[in-house]
Amino acid sequence: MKKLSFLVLILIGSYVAKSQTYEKIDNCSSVCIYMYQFYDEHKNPNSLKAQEMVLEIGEKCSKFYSTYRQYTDSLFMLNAKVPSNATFSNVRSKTANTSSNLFSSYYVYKNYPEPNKTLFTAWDMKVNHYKVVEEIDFEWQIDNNAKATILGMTCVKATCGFAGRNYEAWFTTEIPISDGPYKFRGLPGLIVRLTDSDKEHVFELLEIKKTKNIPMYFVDRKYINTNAKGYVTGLEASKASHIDQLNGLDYSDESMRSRAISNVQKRNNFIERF
Amino acid sequence: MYKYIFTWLLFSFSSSLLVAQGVIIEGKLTSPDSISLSGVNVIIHPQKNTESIIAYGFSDENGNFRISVNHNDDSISVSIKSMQSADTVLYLRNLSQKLDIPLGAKDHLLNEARVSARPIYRKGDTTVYSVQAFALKQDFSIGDVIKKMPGFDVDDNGRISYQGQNIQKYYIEGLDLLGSGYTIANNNLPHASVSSVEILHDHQPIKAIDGIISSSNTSLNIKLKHNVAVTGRAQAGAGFSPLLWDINLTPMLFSKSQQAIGSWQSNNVGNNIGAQHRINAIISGSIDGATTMKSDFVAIPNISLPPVAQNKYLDNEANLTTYNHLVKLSPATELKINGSYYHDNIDEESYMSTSYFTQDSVISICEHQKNLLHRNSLITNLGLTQNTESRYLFNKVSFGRFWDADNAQISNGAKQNIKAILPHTTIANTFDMLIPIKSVFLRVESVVDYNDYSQSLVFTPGVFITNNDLEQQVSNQNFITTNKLSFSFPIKSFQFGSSLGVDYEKQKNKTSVLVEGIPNAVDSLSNSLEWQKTDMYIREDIEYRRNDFIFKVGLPLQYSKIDIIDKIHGASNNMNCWFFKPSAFIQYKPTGSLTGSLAANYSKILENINNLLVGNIIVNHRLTRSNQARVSFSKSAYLLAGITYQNPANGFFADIKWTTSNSKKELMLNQISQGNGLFIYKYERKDGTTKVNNLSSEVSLYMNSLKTTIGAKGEFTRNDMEYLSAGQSETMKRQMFAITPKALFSFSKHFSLSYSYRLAKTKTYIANSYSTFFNQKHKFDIYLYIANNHLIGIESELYYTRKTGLSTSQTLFSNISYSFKPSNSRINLKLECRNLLNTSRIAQIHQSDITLLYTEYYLRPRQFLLTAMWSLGIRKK
Repeated sequence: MKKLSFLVLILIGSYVAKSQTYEKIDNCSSVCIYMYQFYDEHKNPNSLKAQEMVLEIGEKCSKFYSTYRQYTDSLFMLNAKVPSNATFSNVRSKTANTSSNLFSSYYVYKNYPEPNKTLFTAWDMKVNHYKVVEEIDFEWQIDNNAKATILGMTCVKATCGFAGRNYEAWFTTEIPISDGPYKFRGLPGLIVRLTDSDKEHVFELLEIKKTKNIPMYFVDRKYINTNAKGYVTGLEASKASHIDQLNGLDYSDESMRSRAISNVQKRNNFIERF
Repeated sequence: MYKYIFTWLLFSFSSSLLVAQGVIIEGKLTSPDSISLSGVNVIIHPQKNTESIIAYGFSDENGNFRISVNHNDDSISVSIKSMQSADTVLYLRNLSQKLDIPLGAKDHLLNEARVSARPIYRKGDTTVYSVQAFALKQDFSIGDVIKKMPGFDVDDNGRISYQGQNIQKYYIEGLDLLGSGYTIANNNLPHASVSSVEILHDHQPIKAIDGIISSSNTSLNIKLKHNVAVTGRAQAGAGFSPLLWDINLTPMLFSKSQQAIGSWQSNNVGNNIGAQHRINAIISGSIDGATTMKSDFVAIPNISLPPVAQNKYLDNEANLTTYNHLVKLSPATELKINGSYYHDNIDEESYMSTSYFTQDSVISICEHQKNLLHRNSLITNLGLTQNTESRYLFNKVSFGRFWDADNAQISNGAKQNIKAILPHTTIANTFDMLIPIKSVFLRVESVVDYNDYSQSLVFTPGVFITNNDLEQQVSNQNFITTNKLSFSFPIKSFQFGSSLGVDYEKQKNKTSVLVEGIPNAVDSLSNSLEWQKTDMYIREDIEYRRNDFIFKVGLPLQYSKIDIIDKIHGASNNMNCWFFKPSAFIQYKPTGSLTGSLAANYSKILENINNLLVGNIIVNHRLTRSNQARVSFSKSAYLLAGITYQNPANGFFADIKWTTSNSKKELMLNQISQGNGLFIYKYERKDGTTKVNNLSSEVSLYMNSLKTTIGAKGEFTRNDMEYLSAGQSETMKRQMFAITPKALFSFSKHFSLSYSYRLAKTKTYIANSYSTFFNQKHKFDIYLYIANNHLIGIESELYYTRKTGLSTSQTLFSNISYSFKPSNSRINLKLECRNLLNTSRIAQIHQSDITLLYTEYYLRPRQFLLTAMWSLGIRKK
């Protein structure tokens, strides 16, 4: 009788926008698009997922996040002046989605809030928001004998260990930007390709282009402050709590329960491992 | 390659030869106007091979750099690069030295580059994925391919999410036939019929508000390769004993201008397919079906259903046929037709022992009851949607006809048969229109609904007044229309929503008793009540939001005009009244971990006017009921306070919540025993209050090292209720305490194990005595994931129920299932044994004000079932 549901859906966007604010931190002068391919489940090639990510490079800082977030953030900012509709907002819980592509739904800000610091924000399966500020010292080993041409640029190989995995990076001195995908940085040139030794996480540069000083924003909200390990613990805890919730539901077909639980359990391959 | 090369050759004045090891190159980088440059790359190469990197560093905020060089050659080259300065190369002796280097200003020319020919491309707000690029040999359905496309995820229920967000609409050639039931197409439409999958970003399904209310939702559109695609799904299961079946055939047709989906389902394995019939959720994303809902005025004696999953006890024989058809009349206009026919025979069987506590005695009755519920109904809808930039318009006509009839056989020494004939006819129209006026949108909603019920209960032998066949007839005709105009607008952080409505309702009630088919003309056994009510209301909603603070208040004000005509009894009345039902909600979130909330509301409502039936109605073989000739009101107030603390980084979650409510009614039910197990319920004018207080708290801790969650939930409820027994006002006090500890182990991805336990203790004080019950429930589940395609599940539940002074009743259940999906196959197989231990009954004890009810419900016996599921349709090339 009451056809509210679709209107509810419409208004969710503006609701979400209200709980976060956008703070301008820099002007972005160039943009790199990476394809991020990763296994959702450790050692399972069938769990391969792909996501386009964007590295915005500014005068002082850089920001690395998914192209989808880039898009929705821009929408949220457009909506920031339109508050949610009072009548429908209380139904938002029905549409809150927490479970998908979690492993690529983060923001990495480099040289922010201070030079050499890396700020990471992300959420877990229960939509708790976390903030991690750290100073990471990558101990890169450059292999001068390994050279390759990628996207027409001469690239050199470097290796290092980080958060439980060993990585191989290909960087080019032709682009003198000491930056790269995720938290990776510290090479004398842009990282064009980055993979871990098991090839479970692969970042490849698809495109690099100049932009006309578009503003770079920090997405601010109420965060839970923790360290990198704390986020991974939180992620696991939220998984357990999600499984607990799935356990408590009634299913018309009981095997759905076990499949649902198994699916949550299989998502065990976040890029950082402790 | 470098545009500018400054070549400096510097010789050390010192002639002493130093060992090359431990050389430090340091210095300061400045721009032409002497501003220090930070973040500049400084790379040290061998002089002969400038592609090799010996060492590197970056200038800090003050432009300083310091690089230690470990190289044996006499000379080195230093290249200095950044995006803002000219590339600079220095050739130096391999000796420690400090340099001040001014760099030329120059924007670095970025070699823009991109990988060509991506299988995904974006045009405007649409991203297009080529199906061919992602389809593999083993894939059959479009869902198999979508799973692999970047950004997509498909969960177990077949729901698609894109970039972590559930898709809002699943269109096929721009048509939305299936609404939220799209998974059926996604899992069965062969990918060979599809040319591309489009993601519509920022999709606003209502064109009239497109650009006014932006949407962050994404929708998906399937572009067909051919003009028509025919597909479908089949599922067949068989088992024993007795012979069991579970069949589902769903053919589908999709084309660019019309789409159709049919379905035939039949089972006797306890799957309740009637739910699909009642709410037409499959038809569209909106909540349909409310106008065709049925509320019965008489019923056979109810058997309370056991607190276990429905397929453990539902003894059915169900058939459901549905058909949905969507035709695109013009680019903006769609016509949707759907029909659904449901037929079911449900058996229920139970043994009941009831004790009635009256003022001076206790009456105990033991009965064995068998119910046969016969369900037979047809529901059809015809909907028209017009979706243009200037307006959104939706109109639907619904028709429903029910031929339900139930039968109860009760034996308690003597035999009693009760038959309920429960027909119902309904016809309704639903209208919805949305018009944008600048940034405000105006919405008009209107529903017109007509219902006819002519129902009866037939008692063999007769009860109360005769031993001959007796029939209680109850008829109700009602006409209801609700009309609402609403709009909302923002002012700064406030949002205002206003609505204005007029509702009108007219009802006609008639009841009479027939003995051997001849009407009994006694007034005390008849009713003829007609009434009409007009409500006018205005509702204002105000909402204020800040980063950490939300405040909402709702202020509805209603005026009602009521006219009641009672042709037999003296309940005729004309009255006007005002109602005010304010509500408020506050939420404050001082940190990311802590949330506090407070909610309160107050309401005064008019009790159902149909309760004015003063003449007696025979409700069942033990009970007749009559009411007071007075319109009555009830008032209630509710308060909630809660705090939630979450620290997921430590795996700790806790919350505490308190609610209290107080309600007051003007009429109370007087329960009068006639001795001999017969009762009369009479509503009497007397204030009765009910108070409920509830305190609950939950704590859980996740231990990362053990991959284990432990937790507990505690709950305390106190309930004080006034009731009448033989005219005496009594208070029933009930205290319920429950604790639920639980543990979940997930340290391996190959199995999961969970255990939960609940202990509830209920203490009830009635008059001057009290009784105590204990309920316990253990639940233990194990799932084994053997490779990717095999799954074994064992689920067990153990119930205990005990009342002080009575023996303990215990029930143990176990189900075991094995599912297998051969890889590269369109078939899914499942083998189950339900109720492994062949448990035959489950016991429950329930206490209310004057009764203590003990029920043993008969369950489905141990049964074995093998089910195969596969997709129909031809894999087109």
